[in-house]
Amino acid sequence: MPTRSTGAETGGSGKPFLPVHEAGRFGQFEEETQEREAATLGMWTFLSSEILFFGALFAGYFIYRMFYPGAFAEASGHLHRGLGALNSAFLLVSSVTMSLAIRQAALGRGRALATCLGASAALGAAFLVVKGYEYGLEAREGLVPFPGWEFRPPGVEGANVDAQRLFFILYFILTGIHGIHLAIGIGLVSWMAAGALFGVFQGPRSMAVELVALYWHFVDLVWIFLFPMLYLAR
Amino acid sequence: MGAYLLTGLVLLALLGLNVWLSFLLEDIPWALVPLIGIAAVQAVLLAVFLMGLSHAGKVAWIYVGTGTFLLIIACLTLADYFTRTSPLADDPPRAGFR
Repeated sequence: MPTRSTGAETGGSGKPFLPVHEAGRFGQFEEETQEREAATLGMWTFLSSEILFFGALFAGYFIYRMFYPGAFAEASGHLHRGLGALNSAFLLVSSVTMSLAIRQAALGRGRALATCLGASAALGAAFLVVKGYEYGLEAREGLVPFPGWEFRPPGVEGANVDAQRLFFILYFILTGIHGIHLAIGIGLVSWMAAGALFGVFQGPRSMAVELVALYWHFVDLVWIFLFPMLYLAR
Repeated sequence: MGAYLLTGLVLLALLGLNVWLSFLLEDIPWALVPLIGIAAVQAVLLAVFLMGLSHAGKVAWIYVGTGTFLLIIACLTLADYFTRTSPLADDPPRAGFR
């Protein structure tokens, strides 16, 4: 008597399941397009969770800005607008070099890919250096609101001090978390730049560059909003 | 390639415009609105031309659509929150530090 197949051993596709190490170039996926779609879906899902995370902090900022508009505007005046603008320019240019990197990866140009990725990482690192310098200036001006630091913004007294403390707590949390995200991005991009020199991440394997680029652009997007919120509205 | 460079130049120009506007609108309470508006334009340009949404698949657009919907909902909720006063509170929070 013939036995009927349940389809479980083939996943219904007619092809037998294989262990991942035997499955060929695309692992458990049938073709490159399917792998690419799954990876893109995963990255967008991750970015959505990040948007919700930053969204809560942004909402907190806007609520307190509505409560204490004068104090927040005054506190913003203590920040260094020029350094913030310089950092914005670094990140915007790094997004362009990141997009160029995707193109070079698709074309299989290893050296050009490494150059574009290296430029992105260098611009990101420059951002962190300027941010570190800025934090140093703010610490010297008595603008750090955390325990162990004396919070004494110049020329501010009374109840205004508490509202300005709130601004600087939000400022350091928002920019600090953004900085951590950027540092992770720099690590990933540097690793890819090194790999690109040895012929990795090109042609069919350029998908990894596209995914990291999405993350990089997201970090840039967050800063695009942080800059006017924290530095410009005064 | 040219489109990327052009987008980069437009983004830098908008950054310059935003900084210039911030000097112009100093001490004006509603200054945040146009400044965030310009930032939103920058974000859309970056998402469409550099993040590749202009030629992205359906998955990306589903996420963008959902995000836009969530943003609208969040704005409506915040608008309600900011315009509502509690009959129990003699001193609503916005009258606090100022």
